[in-house]
Amino acid sequence: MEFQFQNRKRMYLILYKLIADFLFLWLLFLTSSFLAESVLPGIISSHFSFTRSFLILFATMTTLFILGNILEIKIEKKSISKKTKFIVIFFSSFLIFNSLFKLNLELNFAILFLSLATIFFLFKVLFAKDKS
Amino acid sequence: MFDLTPQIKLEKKDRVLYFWLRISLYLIALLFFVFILFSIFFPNRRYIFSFETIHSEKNTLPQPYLKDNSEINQKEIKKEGFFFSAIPLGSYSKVKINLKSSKNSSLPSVEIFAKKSYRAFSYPEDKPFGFKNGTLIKNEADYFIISEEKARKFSSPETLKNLGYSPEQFMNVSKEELHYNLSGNDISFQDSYPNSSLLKIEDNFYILENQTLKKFFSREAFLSQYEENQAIVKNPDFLNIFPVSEQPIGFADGTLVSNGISVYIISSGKIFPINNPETFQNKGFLWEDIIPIGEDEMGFYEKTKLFTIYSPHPDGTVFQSQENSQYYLIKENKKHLLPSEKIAQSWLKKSLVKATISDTINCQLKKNGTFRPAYSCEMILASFENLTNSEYQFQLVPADDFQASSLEVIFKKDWNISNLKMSLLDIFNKIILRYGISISK
Repeated sequence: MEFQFQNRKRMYLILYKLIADFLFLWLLFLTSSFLAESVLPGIISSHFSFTRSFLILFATMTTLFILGNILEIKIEKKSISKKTKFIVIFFSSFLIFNSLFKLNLELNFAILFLSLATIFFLFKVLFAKDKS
Repeated sequence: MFDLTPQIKLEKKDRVLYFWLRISLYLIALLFFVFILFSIFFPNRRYIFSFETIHSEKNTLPQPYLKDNSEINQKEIKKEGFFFSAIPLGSYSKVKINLKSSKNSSLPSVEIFAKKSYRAFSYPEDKPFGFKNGTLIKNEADYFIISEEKARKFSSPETLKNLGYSPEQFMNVSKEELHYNLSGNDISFQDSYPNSSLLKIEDNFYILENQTLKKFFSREAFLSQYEENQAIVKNPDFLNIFPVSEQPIGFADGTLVSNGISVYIISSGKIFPINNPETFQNKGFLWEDIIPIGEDEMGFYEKTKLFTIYSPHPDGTVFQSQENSQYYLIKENKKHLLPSEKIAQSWLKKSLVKATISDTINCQLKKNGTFRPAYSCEMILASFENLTNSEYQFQLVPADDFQASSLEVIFKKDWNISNLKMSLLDIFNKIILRYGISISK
C-alpha cells in the first residue's frame, strides 16, 4: 500500500514538473503570439483561436494548482526582479501603443501613460506588503 | 538544462524519466511551433456549406446555384447537379473537395468540374449583338442609324441633311460589321425621325422611343451610353412635335457611380452598393470610371442588396477575353459576342473588364469516411497559375439524385520557396500598409 502511494507520488512529482514546463512553453507561445498579433492583427488568430489558448492556459494552471495541493508543494514568494518588471512594462507598453496606432500620437501617449499608471497603482494596492 | 521547479527534487531514476519526457515535450512544442509557422506561410483557405442549414451564417461558401442561376434551397440534389464559386485571394496549388451525404442517403458517383473565370464570363454564350440602338454608322456612301436593333439606311444625303445629321457624326464600319444588325426599312425624305434617334435640346439629351421623347436625367447619364456628337441639336419647339415621357433615362447598365464615400454599380434600374475596395478591384473595375452622382440621381434607382465579391458582374458589363481579345456583353445571364471593336465601342463608354477563362479540370469523388459517408477528391491548380482573377467556378454532377449534407472546399498551397517568398512579401506588405510606411524605389 505504502509502496503504491510512494510510486503515485513520484509520478505526480514528475507530472508536476512537466506541467510547469508546459506552462512555461505555453506562456512563451502566448507572449510571442501577442507580439505578432499586435504587429499584424489576424496573423495568429486566423490559424489558432485565442479562446482555445486561454482555455489551455487555465486548464494547465488549475491542474498545476491541484497537483501542488495534493503534493503539498509550497512555493516561496519571490519579489519580482527589476529586470522582469522592466520586461513586463516594456511588453505592455508595446501592446497598448500598437493597439492604438491609428490614433494621433499625443492621444496614444496619453492613454499609454494613464494605462501604465492604472496598472502601477493596481499592482500597489493588490500586492502591497501589510505593514500593520 | 535549466530547471523551472528546482525546489522539487526527484530520485535518480525518476530524473532520467523526467529528462526524456521533458525532451519529448520540448520536441512536441517545437513541432507545434513549426506547424504554426507553416500555417502562416502556407495557409489553407477552407470554405464550408451545410445543406442542412442553408441560411446559416457559418456557411463560408456562398449558396450553390443551378444552371438558371437560381440558388439551391434544399438538400435534395437532382441529377443535373449544381454550381458553386469560391474566391480565395492569392494563389493556391491544389483544391480538395469533401462532400457528405445525408445519413439516410447514399452518395452516387459524383464528378466535379472546375475552371477559373469570372462567374458572368462563364455564362452560356448566346447570339452575337450588333451595334447599339441609336448608333450612327456609315459604309462607303451609305448612312445608317441603328433603330430597334435594325440598321435603317437614310435613303439619300438630302434625307440625312433634312433630319439634321451631318456625315461627321457617322462611324465608318465594314460590310461584315453592318451585317450583325438586321436591315430595316430605309428612311425616306417624308419619314419622321426613327426610333432611337438621339437629340439635344438646350442642354438636355433625349432619345426617341416609340415616337415618344425620353429625357436622360443628366448629361453624365447620356454620356454613359453615347458620345455627345451622336445627338442632333434641335430647338425647344421640337418638344411640341413629340410627346415627352415622364419616365427619364438613367445611366447605362454596368455604370459605376459614387455618392459620398460609397461606390455603386447600376444595372436594370437597380443600384448595388459595392461592399469594399477588395470587391471593386477583384472584379476588374477601374477607379477612374466612377461617376460622382447626387442624391436626386440616386433616388431614381431602387437600392438593393450589397454587391459582394461573389456577385456576378451585372448586365451591361463588357468583357474582353485575354485569350483571343474578343468582346462580350453580359445580358440576362447570357454572354453575347460583340463581333468587332467598333461594335464593342458602341456599347462601351467606360473601361472594359479583362477576363480569362481557363480549361476545365475535373475529379471523381472517392469514399474516405470511416463512420459517416464522406467523399473527397483533389485537383491540381497548376494550369490556372497565370490567370489573373481569383474566381473559381465549380460544377458538381452526380450520376443520380441524392441528399447532400455538407460541402467543403479547401484550397492548399504547396510547400515551396516561391510560395514562401509570396507569403513573406504579403506579410511585409500588410505590415507596411498597417503602419502607413511608404517605400520609395
